[in-house]
Amino acid sequence: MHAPTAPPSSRSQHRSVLLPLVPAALATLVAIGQWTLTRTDHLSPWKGGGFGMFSTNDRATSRGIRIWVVDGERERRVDVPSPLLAQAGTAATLPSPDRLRELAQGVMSLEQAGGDRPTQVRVQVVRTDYAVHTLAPRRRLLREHVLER
Amino acid sequence: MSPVHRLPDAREVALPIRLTGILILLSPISVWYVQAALVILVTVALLHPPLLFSWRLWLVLFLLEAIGVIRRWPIPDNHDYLLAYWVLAIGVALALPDPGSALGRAARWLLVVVFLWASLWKGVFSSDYLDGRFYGVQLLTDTRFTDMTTLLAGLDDAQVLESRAYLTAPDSTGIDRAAPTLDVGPDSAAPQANRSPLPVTARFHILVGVLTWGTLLAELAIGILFLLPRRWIPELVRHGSLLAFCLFTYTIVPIGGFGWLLLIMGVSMTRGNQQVTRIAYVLMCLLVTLVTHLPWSHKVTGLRLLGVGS
Repeated sequence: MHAPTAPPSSRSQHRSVLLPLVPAALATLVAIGQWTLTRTDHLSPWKGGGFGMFSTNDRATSRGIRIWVVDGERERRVDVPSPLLAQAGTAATLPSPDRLRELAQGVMSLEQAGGDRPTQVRVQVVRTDYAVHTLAPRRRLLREHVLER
Repeated sequence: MSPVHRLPDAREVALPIRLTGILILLSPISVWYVQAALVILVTVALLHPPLLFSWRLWLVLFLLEAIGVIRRWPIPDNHDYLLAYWVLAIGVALALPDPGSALGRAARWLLVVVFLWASLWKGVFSSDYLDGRFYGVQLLTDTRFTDMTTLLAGLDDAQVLESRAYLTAPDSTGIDRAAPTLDVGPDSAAPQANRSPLPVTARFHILVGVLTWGTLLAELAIGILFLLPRRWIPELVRHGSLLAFCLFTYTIVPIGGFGWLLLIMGVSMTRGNQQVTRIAYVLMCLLVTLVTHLPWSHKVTGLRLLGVGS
């Protein structure tokens, strides 16, 4: 035997009270996820929907990508190739292992397409921190990926 | 008559919904098919009120905004997320028997989430906010603060430029703007002995302190004001605090999209007899637009308009 259902007016009242809270609940869930990613994968606090803008110097302009290509015994530093600029920007914002690996693979492919035979591509995401009293800038490694051919 | 086909009380939801439609048109998204769909749907809706007040339209707009965020993730800024949540709030409100009340409730809780999370980041999660490093660096490197720094902190343009060169980090293209002596390897903590010290003044330190604690306390206060029951807080205090925050924040740091969203949420919480408050919100929207979009806004900031430093 089924339990009696609530009268429609009560259900309507519950919907009217609870449904308007859905956007705020969604915002809270996203913000919690964003905070988690800032701790696990170094997501920039300015991004990800956690409302961390204007709370820290850790923003896009304080992060950088460094790439080294090893070709035999020669190691050289290279700029981010133009076709990979957008990908590098995303990797700097969220330097997850997958993103760094994909960026390294992209660099490897471009080097090979250019006729070189690199044996290793090393990608680093670095962030500039500032000393407490002097604001002296110092670079800190966030994450590194080494791709071997 | 079902809520889907009934036009809501114009005074309650028409204004915030129309302002939101305008905001969507002023906020381009770099995903071309999302942008095209948004512009077409919103333009038609603004010209055809029965569509503008359809909950189905706003749920479609929410899906488009969500797709725009997901496709560009993690690059979108906070106001992109907030716009998506707000569009969803409109769709939900229009599907309910009392859209005005529902939209006001949604706005209130979104404001609580935004301001309390912003306060949490500044006061708890961030490692470089409370000690003044955030504003200490941003006042010298973020060009939006240049006027404030030169007018209030006693630094001249040359000192600001010199400081910016000292503090600037490598950009995302991997090209170090700084001299090679900064490139001393990972996790470097070596002092940069060949770098000139920052030309900070006592006024600069005071400005950093005022901005650091003032911003945190203002955001925390607004979050709490909207969290507390309406009958505890006079309407003038709640709306006045939000208007004041937008006035001082978005005339100095012109992030028009975010400012508009906060103001639209404020409008949606007004009631029929609060015409003056509604007008104040609309005027603030126009002021934020002027500061954000007109070419001269980057040279003539709110401070100069108020005669500071003249």
